Amino acid sequence: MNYNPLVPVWKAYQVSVECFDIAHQTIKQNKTELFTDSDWPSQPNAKQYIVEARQESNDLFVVGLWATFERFVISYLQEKGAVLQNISPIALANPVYEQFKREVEFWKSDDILNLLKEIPSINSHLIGQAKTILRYRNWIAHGRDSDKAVKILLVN
Amino acid sequence: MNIIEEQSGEQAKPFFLAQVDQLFDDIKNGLADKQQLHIEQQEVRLNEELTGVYMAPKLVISSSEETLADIKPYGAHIIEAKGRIDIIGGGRTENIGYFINGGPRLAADKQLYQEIEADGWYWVANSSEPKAGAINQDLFLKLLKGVSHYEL
Repeated sequence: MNYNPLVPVWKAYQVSVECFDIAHQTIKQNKTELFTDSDWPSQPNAKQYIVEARQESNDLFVVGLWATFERFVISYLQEKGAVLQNISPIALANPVYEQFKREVEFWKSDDILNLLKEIPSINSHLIGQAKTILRYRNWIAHGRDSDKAVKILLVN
Repeated sequence: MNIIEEQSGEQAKPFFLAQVDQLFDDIKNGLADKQQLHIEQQEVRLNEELTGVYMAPKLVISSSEETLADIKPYGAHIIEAKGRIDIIGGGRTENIGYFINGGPRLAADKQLYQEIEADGWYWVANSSEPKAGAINQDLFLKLLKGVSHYEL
């Protein structure tokens, strides 16, 4: 697992940023011939639609990043938990592992982060940052409650 | 411990607002000779967990034809930064963070952004490789041009 699963998500986000920019320039330069199959670029608020769509995309990017990170960590734990298949009595080993594999899918992200904090090579400061990002992700995923705001700098 | 845990809202907000004011003064002074641009200062409502709702200034920069960009404070409680301002144009948004003590670190002796020296506002690039730049007049104009596609 020595690869960064977040890289493809990040690259996709960068491409989307450039696409929004190109769409904006295209509308600004009135190149309507590029939109033969779509009528929204010719609408009066087309440029505003791009700004709003970009914001939506930014938020979904954070949700996507977190989902990818979470999947990565859960897969890691399932892989590490495979040693449960070696316990005795042997008849219990496989069912215990299968139970663990299923259950870990439902572990709370906060608890998983606390677990990772136990690994000496992982900087606990980074875990603290991840928890803040999780709160931001939850804020977005739960409808951006304007009475409960958390903020985060662009994740690089 | 992260910024949100270590710094209360009452400490962070006035610092952030003072830095926003300073940057906005610099922007207004820097654009004073650009006669084709109109700069209007407005207010924006911010809401952060540790501060609650508060008002902050924002700048709207326009040409004679259209709005080019909103220079909008985003918040005081930012991971590894003491505040964030967005430069929002029609085409894209650029982010500026206020960093102290060299900014974010990957380890005690390793800064994420090598470009961060003095405390201040820095643009953070939207790129896979960490890249930042101290905000000065030239960089601000470049960012303004980038988000608006307006020839300055």
